[in-house]
Amino acid sequence: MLLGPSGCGKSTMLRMIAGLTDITSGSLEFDGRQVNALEPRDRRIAFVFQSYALYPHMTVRANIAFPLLMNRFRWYHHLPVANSLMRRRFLRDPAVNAKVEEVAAMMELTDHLDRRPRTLSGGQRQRVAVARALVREPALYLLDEPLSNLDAKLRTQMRAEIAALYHRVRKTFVYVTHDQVEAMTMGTRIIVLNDGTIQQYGTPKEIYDRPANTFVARFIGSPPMNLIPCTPTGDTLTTPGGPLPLRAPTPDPVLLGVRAEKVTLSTSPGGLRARIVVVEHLGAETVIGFNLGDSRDLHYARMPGDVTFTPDTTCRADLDLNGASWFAPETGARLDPLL
Amino acid sequence: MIENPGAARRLPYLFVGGAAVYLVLLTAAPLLNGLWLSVTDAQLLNPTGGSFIGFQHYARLFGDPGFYHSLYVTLVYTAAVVAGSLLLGTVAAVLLNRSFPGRTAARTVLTMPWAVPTVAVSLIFVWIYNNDSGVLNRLVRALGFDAQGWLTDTSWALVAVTAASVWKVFPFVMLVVLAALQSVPDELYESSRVDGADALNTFRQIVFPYLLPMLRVAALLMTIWSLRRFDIVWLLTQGGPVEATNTVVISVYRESFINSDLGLSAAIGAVGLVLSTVVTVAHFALERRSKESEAW
Repeated sequence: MLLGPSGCGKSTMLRMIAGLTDITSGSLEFDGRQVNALEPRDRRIAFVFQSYALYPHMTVRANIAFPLLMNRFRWYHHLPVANSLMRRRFLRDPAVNAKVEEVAAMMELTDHLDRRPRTLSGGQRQRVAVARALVREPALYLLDEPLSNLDAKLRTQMRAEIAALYHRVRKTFVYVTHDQVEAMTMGTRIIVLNDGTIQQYGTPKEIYDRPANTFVARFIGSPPMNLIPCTPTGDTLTTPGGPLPLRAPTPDPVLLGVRAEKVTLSTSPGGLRARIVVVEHLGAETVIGFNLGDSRDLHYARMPGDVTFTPDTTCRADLDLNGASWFAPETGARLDPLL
Repeated sequence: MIENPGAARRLPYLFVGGAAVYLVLLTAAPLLNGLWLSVTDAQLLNPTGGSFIGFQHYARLFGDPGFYHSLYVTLVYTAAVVAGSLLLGTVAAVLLNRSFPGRTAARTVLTMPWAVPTVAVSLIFVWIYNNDSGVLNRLVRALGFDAQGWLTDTSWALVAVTAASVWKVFPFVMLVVLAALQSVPDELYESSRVDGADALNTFRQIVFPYLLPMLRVAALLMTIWSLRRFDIVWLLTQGGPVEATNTVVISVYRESFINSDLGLSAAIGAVGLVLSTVVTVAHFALERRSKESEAW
């Protein structure tokens, strides 16, 4: 998964892998073989575009078969008679039809094979784009925000279908997204990018639990990780909401990173002084935004759906500091070493 | 807001009324008048004084081998200009759609023939084709061949007129195709590259179908314009030599303004009108058929 905000360079990186954008420096290797100079068609890749890039004048069948046709194309097929003969033979080839129909069945497109893309729904078009990628049997699948043009319900459905497809074909998928839910639910490994620089590479759990810096900490997770400015004083930490009995990894001011689900708000004594700012009822859970002490920084707590809090009231915030993260305020870098 | 329902009903007629009056006065009325003239013996010096003579002019035309020759010349000229301008315009558009230094200047230069008045174009080509001092004959001699009378030799005159006409009109096709090319999404080029298509296949399989509707319109316009083109042919050869470039429109002019036979001229014009109508109807029939037929 290549994950990052808009303009961070994730699509550029994918296009460089595909050979659609030139690599100005460095080496790109597939299985130890440098491929910088190879044309996209020689890289054994398939690319699923954000806009699907279906050929509008061709039927679904022709769209899916197109890579196979090109694979069989030789220079002399450019000659007028040879071209039409070749194409006629190609279309009658039982092996080609069997392959197209097999892939179409896999993507539930059998009933739509003779339709044009413009008559299909967004989800069906997406399936055709994936089918066209599948038919080539590539070594590497590249997907550039393939779900971003779909509505929320369809996106959830297609997410599950692509995940199932991944498990079925067992090939490498490189998937670009700005949606962290897609990255966290579908990815086995995630690269978090920002400003063209890799911020972190790891499993979804590593990235969620041990973000490499404050950018990753804030970018991954919804609501984002709470970053509380603290000043160490001996064995305690001074926070805007009061002292915490905790020893920091450094004597200098630090940022304490705590996920929203590790924060419990209550009216009972103990914990840090807090003021409720916003209450978002999401059904199964409630996300509560609050300030600590007199600070204006907004922090979040994820609480059960049945809690009743009112904005602009005071309460106490208890932090579960097991697995908390520490960051340097100036650089944003994580202070304890990564595992 | 229009409160009065009667006024609201009349309003659409008011909007189309201006255009309808314009069409009736400047198109339908002259057309009907022309058809009427074709069945009279009207003369140029007394256009309204002709009397009805039935289909005598048509009978004369269809019994005249010269008329069939002018029909043949018209069809050959039209087919060659349409094919030449579509080919040259498409090639120029594809080249100009690529990114290279000086592209804007190249676009301007290649659009110029369309913008230059036909009289100027014709003069330029008269110089180019000049038997003694023309650039073309100098080039031909430099290549070791004999000089030709491009506008005076019956075997070359139609070729020369066609070439000049193609040069004059291909920028129109180029601009139309260029606009169509720019509507092809970049992802389709990239997708076809990933799918293994080379440049020629990308053009034939992906880009050309995008251009087809625009090319059809351009072909229709080129055909109609070529069928009725007068200026460049008249200025270069006046239909000669020995009627080698005598198109239907040149015949219309000759009969009207040289032979003063307005009736016969109108009859030739009516045949030309039928030709244009057949082309237009064929175009729409082809378009409908191609929309109904499935791509491979």
